[in-house]
Parts: sequence; C-alpha cells; structure tokens
Amino acid sequence: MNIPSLAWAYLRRSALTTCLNVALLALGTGTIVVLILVGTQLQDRLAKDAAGVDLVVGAKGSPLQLILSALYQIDIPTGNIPLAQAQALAADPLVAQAIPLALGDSFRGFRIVGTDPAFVALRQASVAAGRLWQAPMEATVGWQVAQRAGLKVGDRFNGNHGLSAGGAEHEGMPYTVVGILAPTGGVIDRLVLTPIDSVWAVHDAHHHHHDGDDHDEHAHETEAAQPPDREVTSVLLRYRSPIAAARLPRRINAESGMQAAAPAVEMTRLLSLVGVGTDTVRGFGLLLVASSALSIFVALYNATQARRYDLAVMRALGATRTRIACLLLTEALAMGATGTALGLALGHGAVEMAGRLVPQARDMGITGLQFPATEPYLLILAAALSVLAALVPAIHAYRADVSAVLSRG
Amino acid sequence: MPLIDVTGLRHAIAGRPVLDIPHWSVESGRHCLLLGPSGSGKTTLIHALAGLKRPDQGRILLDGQAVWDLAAAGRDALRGRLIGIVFQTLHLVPALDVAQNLHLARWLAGLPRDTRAVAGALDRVGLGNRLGARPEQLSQGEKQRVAIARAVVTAPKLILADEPTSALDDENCARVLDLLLEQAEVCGATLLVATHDGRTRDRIADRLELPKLGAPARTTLGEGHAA
Ligand SMILES: Nc1ncnc2c1ncn2[C@@H]1O[C@H](COP(=O)(O)OP(=O)(O)O)[C@@H](O)[C@H]1O
Ligand SMILES: [Mg+2]
Repeated sequence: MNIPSLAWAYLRRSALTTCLNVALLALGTGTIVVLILVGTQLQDRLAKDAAGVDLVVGAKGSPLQLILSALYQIDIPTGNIPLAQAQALAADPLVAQAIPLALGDSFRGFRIVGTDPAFVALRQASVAAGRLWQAPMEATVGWQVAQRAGLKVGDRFNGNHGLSAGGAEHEGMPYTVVGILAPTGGVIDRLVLTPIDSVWAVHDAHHHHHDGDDHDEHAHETEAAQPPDREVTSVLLRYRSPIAAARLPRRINAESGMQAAAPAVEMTRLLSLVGVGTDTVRGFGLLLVASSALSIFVALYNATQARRYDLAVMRALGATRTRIACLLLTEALAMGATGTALGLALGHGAVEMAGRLVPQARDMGITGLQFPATEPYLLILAAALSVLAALVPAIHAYRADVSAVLSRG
Repeated sequence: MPLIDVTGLRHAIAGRPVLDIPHWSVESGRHCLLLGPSGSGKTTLIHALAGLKRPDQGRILLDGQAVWDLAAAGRDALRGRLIGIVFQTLHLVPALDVAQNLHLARWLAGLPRDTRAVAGALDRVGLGNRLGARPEQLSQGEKQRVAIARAVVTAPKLILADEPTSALDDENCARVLDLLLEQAEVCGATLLVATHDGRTRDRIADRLELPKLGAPARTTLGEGHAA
C-alpha cells in the first residue's frame, strides 16, 4: 500500500467522475494545443513567405489584397503597373533588390508567375531536377505542381486564362518544363515560374487571337522585344538601408499612381483581425481547462465530504494529516496529469491527422509532430490548476477533527 | 511499567464535566472493561487515549510515553505503532478489498508490506478465503471480523474496542468478545473494551466504571491482579 495505489483505488471507485474530469481536461488542453500548433506553424509559414521582402509595390487598391496576392498568391491582384515605373523603382538608390511579378494565367489552378530567377533565391528554393527558366515559354515548376500535375522535365502544357482553374486554355502557346523545384513548404511549391516575356507573349497572343488580328511572327517578336506599354503586376522590394522604410512607401503612395504596402504592417493587421477568432477559441480552450479544474475541485470536495469518515479512520489507524492531504493532492495530480497528457496526445494527433488528410493543411506543411516551447507551461498550468483544485479539500481534510467525525460516525 | 497510566484526567464538553479520572492504570497484558451508560464519556476517553482528542487536564502515559506532550505527527505515529482500534461502526475502507484494508493499516502504522501477516490475520478470524472481497460483499459478521483482523494486523500493544458488541445478539456478542480476547492473546496485547453492554461483564474482570454526569470514575480490579 502506498499513496499512489490508495489514490488509484479511490479514483477507480468513482470511475465515472474521474473519467469526466480527465476528459474535460483533455478536451481543454487538446484545444489549446491545436491552436498553438496551427497558430505557430501558420505564422511561421506567413513569415517565411514574406522573408526578404520589405515592400510590395503594385496597383492602387487594398494594401492587404496587394500583399496577399503578391506574397501569398491567395487573392486576386489589385491590377497592373507600368513596367517603366517598376524599372525606375529597381534603379532607385534606396532599393537593394526589385523582383517583378507578372500574373494573369494559371495551369490547373496553379498560378503562372512571370518573374526573374532571383525570385527562386529569395524563396530559398533550389532546383530538384532540370534547371531554372531562361528563354520565353520555358517554365520551372514548384514541387507540388509537378507532383499533382505529374509534370516531368521536357513536358509541355498550355496555360489557362485567369488565376483560377477553369479559364479558357491558351492553345498554341505551350510552356515547356525545364526544371522542377525542390519542396520548401512555402507558396513557391505551388507556382509555375517563367520569364515575364512568356506572360506578355501569351497575353499578346490571346488578345490578338480575340481581336482577330493577323500579325506575322516577326512583328510579334519585335513588339515583345520593344514594349511600348508593358505592365507587371507587382514588384517585391528589398531596402538598401532602414531609411528607405521611412521614405519609400510614402513617396510611392503620394507621388505615383502605384501603391506600396509593407508585408510586416499588413500581416500584423491581418493577424490582429484573425487573432480575434483564435483568441476566442483559445479562450474557449482555457475555459474548458478552468471548468475541468473546477470539476476536479467539486469532485474532490464532495469526495472529502463523502469520505470524511474514511479519512478519519485512516487518521485513527495512524495516518498523519500530511499523508491525508498528500492523498488528495495525488488524486488531483493524477487526474490533472492524465488529462493533460491525453490532451497533448489528442491535440498533436488531431493536427497531424489534419496535416495528412486535409489538402490545404497538407499544402502548408502542417504537422502535429512539432513540439512548441510553450507546451511544458501548459503541463505546469494544468498541474497547478489541479493542485489548486485539491488545495481546499486537502486543507479541509488536514484540519478535520477526527474525534468529532468518529463519534458522529 | 503499566501500559496505560492516567492521572488527574478531567474533561468537560460544552461546560459539562464528562470525565473525571483521578488515577487509572492498566498493566501490560491485562484486559480492561470500560463500563458506563451511554453518554458517560467512554468514547471521549478512548479518543483521549488514542491521541485524537486532547483532554482539558491530566496526563496520559501510553507505554511510558506522555501522549499529549507529543507533537501531532508524533501522536499519529504512536497511535499507528501502539494501538489497534475497532470502531463500533467497523468502518472498513470501501474503496479497498479486505486484504487491502489490512495492508492499509500496516502501511499507516509504518510497517513494511507483509502479505503473510495479512493473510495470517484474516485466517485467524476465519476469512482466509475472502482476501479479495469488497467490504460491501461481506455480511455484518464478516465485516466485524475484518475490523478485528485489521486492528491486530499491526501487532499493537493496545487494542481499543468501542462498543464492539452493542448492536449484536447474545450469540454474536459472545463470539466477538471471544475473538477479541483470542486475538489480543495472539499478539500479546492489552484489550480495552468500552461498553454499556452488561453481557460483557463476566468476561473481563478488571474494569473502569464511568458514572454519569462526570462523577469520579471507579476502578475495580479482578482476580490475579498483583495488588
Ligand atoms: N462533539 C460533541 N459535541 C457535543 N457534545 C458531545 C460531543 N461528543 C460527545 N459529546 C457529549 O459528551 C458526552 C460523552 O460522550 P461520549 O464520550 O460519546 O459518551 P459514550 O461514548 O460513553 O456514550 C455525552 O454527553 C455527549 O453528548
Ligand atoms: Mg461512545
């Protein structure tokens, strides 16, 4: 006989209450674990896809929309900007690097992005097979594009008009896959990358096709080489010095027809909006944990009332007051630890399942096998709460007048 | 040295005197009846002896140790080591089976785990085959025997039995008393039986009589006592 086995005997005797408390605690901690896991991984993902970009310049409109479309490829662009102005930005002494992006078409729902090979370096991606694009109509595709579409180096495919699947196919202007990128877990995995010239060429052909014009090949080439009114969708900028942060956005927004948006600012704003939602769920999780602590308290308090005589008999058999208090604390801790452990397993399991089964979660590389540094605190919190719950009953039992309880028996 | 040595014990409850024992002692190995009508303070005295209820005045020596000079934990330890208690309501711990109830008593008395001692104690009260039974599965008589086994499994020097026979018919009264005496003999313990039950009078010669209303107690010693 020892305190754990005695505690176990009591917990087993009131199995239903014990299970309820453990389940309540498991649900609470599980909810919090899911939030922590998904939250941190989402934030990591967002930060990773914005890394190296200080400013995004595009057409006027919603700054958040500009950021979402240019960095995360999840919203439609605000419009296009003249190539000349984009090139002027690249030449600005405040700018260290400017990477243009031209959007417009897609392939099976994957966006075709016309850009410089510098974009690959910016995303810290590497080539898994083949090489980077060089000539127009060459394409290097992201890992998931290759996987889902079954593309290999040397394959050819036609783009579709528009950014979502279902647009009219651009026939007669096929892309050739020259390379496949290694997986990064980032947005680039889902992009088809090609020179900007390809986008322009397809765009022109599309227009000409619809206009019914009959340009010969030579004229087309000339037009592509010397664009009078070429456009890009956005430009990703990296500052040369911190001073640029103070001057450049204001100057662009005030003096040009373009819009400049800083990813850091917009994402903070977005997260504060989304944060309200996650805070609510997190609050709900905490509420579950708190109510399970309360439930443990009620269970133990009732137990000490129902067990008054038991505890008094143990005292009469020689148990010290400390031992009785320890017994109750052990019961609470056992419930607390089991509930929390179950909650951790539940939370990690649920996130891992989602990461495997839900396509969107899989795309983002969501995994349940990550163990955030905040988790030990969750354990400590749950342990502290269950001890707190046991404290009043334990003190009650500690102070009980054994003689009075036994005489009233 | 007497096992129990009480001097100048006085206790009042709610301003009403309950106990007045100028002097009372019980030699080691002898048994004693604690007689008195209901409300005469028998339970109060037993609790005072066991270190559960501090008396207003007086000194209680158990095996030479002044019970109420000890700190709380020391009293708990002394009680566990020296005393076995049989409650009138028996009160086995319902969450534990029969054997575990005895293991519990040994553990609380600070004794090592001893499956043979537990089995032996249950065997001696005729329950050698009910080790794994739950208290609620036992008859009243079986519970009584488990309670007695639990009191002696720690090999106490003093067995305190508070009204062990009051709720029993004549036959069972005699049987329980026999069992208590027999078990006390086995472990060489002193048996103190508190009762208002006249049927026990002829079984134990030494007695302390507690009159009603806190009048001084009277001691009677039976045969064989070294005067
Ligand atoms: N907790 C208590 N509160 C008030 N009176 C009590 C309490 N315990 C005992 N008494 C009183 O003290 C007296 C002695 O009680 P007790 O020792 O239980 O007597 P006995 O065991 O001989 O029946 C009785 O009159 C009883 O009513
Ligand atoms: Mg009584």
